[in-house]
Amino acid sequence: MHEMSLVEAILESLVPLCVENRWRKIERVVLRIGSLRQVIPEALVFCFEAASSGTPLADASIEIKEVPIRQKCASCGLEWEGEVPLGRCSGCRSVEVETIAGLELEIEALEVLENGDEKG
Amino acid sequence: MATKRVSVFKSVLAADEQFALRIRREMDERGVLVLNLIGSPGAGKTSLLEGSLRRCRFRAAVVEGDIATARDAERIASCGVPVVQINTKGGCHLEANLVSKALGAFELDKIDVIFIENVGNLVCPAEFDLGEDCKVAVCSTAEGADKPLKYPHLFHECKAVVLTKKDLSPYVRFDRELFWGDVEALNGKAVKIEVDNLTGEGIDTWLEWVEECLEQKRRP
Repeated sequence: MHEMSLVEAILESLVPLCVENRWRKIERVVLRIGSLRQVIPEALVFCFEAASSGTPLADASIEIKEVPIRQKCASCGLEWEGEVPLGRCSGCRSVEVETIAGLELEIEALEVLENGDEKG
Repeated sequence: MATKRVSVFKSVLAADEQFALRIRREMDERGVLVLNLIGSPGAGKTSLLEGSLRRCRFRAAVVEGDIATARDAERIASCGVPVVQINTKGGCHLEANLVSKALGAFELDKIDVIFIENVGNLVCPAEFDLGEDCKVAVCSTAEGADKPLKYPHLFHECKAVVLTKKDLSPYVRFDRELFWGDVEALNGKAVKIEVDNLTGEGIDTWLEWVEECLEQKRRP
């Protein structure tokens, strides 16, 4: 259940950002999460709902964009996508394989409600 | 009032990654090797360390991560090496900010290798960078041979896989070929080591690998 740690990190990063920018609240958080990261979206949303109460993110919705695992062979340059990471290039059998996507844990964007004319 | 979209592109774990970065930088400067041992509860991580600490020729220290109790730290302390216990109080993994504090308790100029024994768990610890040189997966025959494919991130990312409780293999009908075949499929570079913590079989091979890593790190 590392989802709670991720949620805590998201709140620790976004609550100050919200205050700094004098936004009224954050209404939507868009996350990019790599498939290799073993994050369960439902668990993350559940943790977020529990932990965000009383913060400017209290009613925010969470959008999770899952990034598939993408690997590249450093020897022959072959690139592929898959459900499970491979330890060997399926083309040239080299073990020099790099994971180029699938490890993301990023806050990509926010939708925020501004304070408008009101003094923050 | 208006809603607007703001691009952020920030790592969720940015704050903790800074701690990991600092640990890695300091340990690189000092030439101290840091290994992050990850495995299920009962995989034999502490036993592997006990066996290693009694035989190793390098100067070791241990950071013990557990949800509760100082039992593992007590076992390690009896081997005569510096040890710090971190209790995560429910947390299922160690994070770099906790490790960073723990490392402050060591006299780092008297240490060659730091073993971090992560909280027993095959999932979450794989997700957090502790500033280590590499992760080591520790898995026992009793857990069953299907674990690598079920927990691909750890087995894909680790530099070595240590299979423990080799002596139990016939009793639990451990499928050795399936296990190492799946490890190979996920990670063609992983070093594969089998040990029996009770008799000490395989511990020397494991320690030779650790020494090699240390040598490599210190090579100019």
